[in-house]
Amino acid sequence: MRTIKGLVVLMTALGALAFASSSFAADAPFPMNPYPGDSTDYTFNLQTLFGHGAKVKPAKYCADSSVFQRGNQIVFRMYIVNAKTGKVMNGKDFSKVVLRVAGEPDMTMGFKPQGGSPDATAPWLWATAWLVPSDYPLGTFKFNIVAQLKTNGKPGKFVSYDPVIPGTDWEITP
Amino acid sequence: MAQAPLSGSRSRLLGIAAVAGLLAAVFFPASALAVGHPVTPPQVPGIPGLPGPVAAAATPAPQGLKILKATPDTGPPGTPFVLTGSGLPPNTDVNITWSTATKQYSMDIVPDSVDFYGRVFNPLAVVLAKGHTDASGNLSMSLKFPQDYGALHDIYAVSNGVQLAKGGVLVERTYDVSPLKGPIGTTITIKLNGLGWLGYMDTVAVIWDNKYAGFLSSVTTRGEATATIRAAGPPGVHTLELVPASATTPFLNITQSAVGYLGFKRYTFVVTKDTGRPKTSVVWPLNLPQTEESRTTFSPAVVGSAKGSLSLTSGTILSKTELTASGLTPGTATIQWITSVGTRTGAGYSISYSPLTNVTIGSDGTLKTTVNVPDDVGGWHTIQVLQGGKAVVSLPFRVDQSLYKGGQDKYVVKRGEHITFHLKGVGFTEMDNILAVTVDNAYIGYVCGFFSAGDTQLDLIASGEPGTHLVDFYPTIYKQQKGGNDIWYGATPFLTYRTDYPLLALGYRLPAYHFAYTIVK
Repeated sequence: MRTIKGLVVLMTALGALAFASSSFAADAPFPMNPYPGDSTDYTFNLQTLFGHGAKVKPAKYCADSSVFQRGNQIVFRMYIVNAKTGKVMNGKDFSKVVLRVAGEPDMTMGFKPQGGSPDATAPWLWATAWLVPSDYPLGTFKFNIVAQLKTNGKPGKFVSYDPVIPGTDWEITP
Repeated sequence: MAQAPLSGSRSRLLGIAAVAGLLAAVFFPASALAVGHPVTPPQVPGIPGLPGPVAAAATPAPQGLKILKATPDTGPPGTPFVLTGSGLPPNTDVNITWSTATKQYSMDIVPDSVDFYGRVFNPLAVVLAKGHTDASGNLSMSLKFPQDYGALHDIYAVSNGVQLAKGGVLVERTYDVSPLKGPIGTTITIKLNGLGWLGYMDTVAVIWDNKYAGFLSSVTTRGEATATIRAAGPPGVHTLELVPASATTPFLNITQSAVGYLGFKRYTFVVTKDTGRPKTSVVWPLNLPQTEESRTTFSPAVVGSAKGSLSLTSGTILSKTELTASGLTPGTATIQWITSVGTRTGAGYSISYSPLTNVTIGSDGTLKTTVNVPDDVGGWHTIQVLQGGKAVVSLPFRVDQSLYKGGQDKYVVKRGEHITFHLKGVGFTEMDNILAVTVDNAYIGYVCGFFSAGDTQLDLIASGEPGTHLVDFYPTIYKQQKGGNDIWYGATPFLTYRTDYPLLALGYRLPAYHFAYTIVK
């Protein structure tokens, strides 16, 4: 049974795998698949929501969903947490965080206040938005997120999140 | 009479082995022991199988998935489309895989019941076609949407277990309702195709003049569903709506849901005139091969090597079947009838052993006798030959439903008068113990025949304007046990009972009954 994963999706063991990559330069292409790994170092707490930049109006803006229509804008936002220390990773901890959707160019995720407004009380999240093309393939869609740690001010290890939840998928509908 | 006592809850174990059952009942609640299992459905003529061989498991390419474009990417089964992709490995053979599923009903077949555990599906991919990329890594193929479950299907180009590119299409559902005009009682055939395999996609409700008339399903018929209803009066214009149903009842604003693309369909039916009351009719399901050998009340285990057979293995109550046996011990024997008795209203139920008659076995050890089928619940029973208190021959027999004295005591009434509809042989499992009832295509409830040993009567108050009114009884599922994949609400008219009913796999034949009455001033 397909399940809409509305609220915060906590991805741990399957998602956050790290590997050493000190040889990568800051502007070098991100690896497509930094796997396999053998440890769970980071958790990704991801939400996908209906964004305001839609060409096709959703039922409700900002509502969580895993089912989107062509022309909807999907907002990806998340916390990344160091699973060992509990530290919530901020903009100083990563040199780059990238969202990858099959067939689309890489999308950089910025560390921003929720809703994009600098507010003293707004939680800060890693976020980006994707406008689903009008001809994007229907059915399930695949994405992953790759982040490169900043170590001593320099690009360091990659960590990534590949959403694998048995029996569930994000989906694009007409 | 060797009837097992009724328990306060589920007592199925008492029928199998009293001691083991009691111990189990003490230490394990029945609900913890019960479990459904998927049952292979019978093959319905004209319904295709999987649209290709099952594809081997595959994983996404490490370098990321490319995109496959399907043009068009929306249409009914059979729609031709062109599948293109680029940026793929050059000169490479690829399998084009198509996501789909196998779907079955889950049931628990026990001596005193068959319990319904819902619909289960197994998602999988099949190889729809084989292709080859050109020297530039491009792919272009002309294909067709197969006859398959509808809704969204993922398409992958796979090479050596690696998914290189992904596409997807929407297989739309189609509707065919005919005729759209006729007198009261006209049989309207509803044909659907392209229903999906997920819970909200395999079931469609029928609404007649804003009244719920029942549902069609395509659980085991790969997206196809055909059923009939009758045009109800009065003469004039009526609406017929086909709406996704999920749990069998109409999902009236499906377009606001995550599966809004399923849509719905509305028709206008014109009732031309009232030509009088149609004759009572009984419509049976297709005669499909039984795929599940387990039967209620029946155990093949017997003592000794005697053999037996029945001239008829099914019939109505009070019918006869010839029992022939050999290899018996000369002397006396008892013919025993095994059935299920009790109620689901609280007291419980169990199988019951009733001696029918004593017979004498001659010196040659053979027996030939007529067995009079009791006035009892319907469904699978067991006829046994007992010698020395032990079963030496055990044979299954199915009691089919029937009308009692034409099924109806009055045909012409004044408004407010009572009419009794009367059936026999209604069963005891969760899928044949009740029938859903509609009046003028409006669902009003159900009737049950378990506690009353198959005798099922409906006392109906005649209502409506002067003229012809329709009363229909349909097979239905009493309720779904917990643990199912998707819940179906029980007791609603199962309009596709002829092809998609769970008990078809177990050799049951459950009909629909079509009655009518006339109101006069």
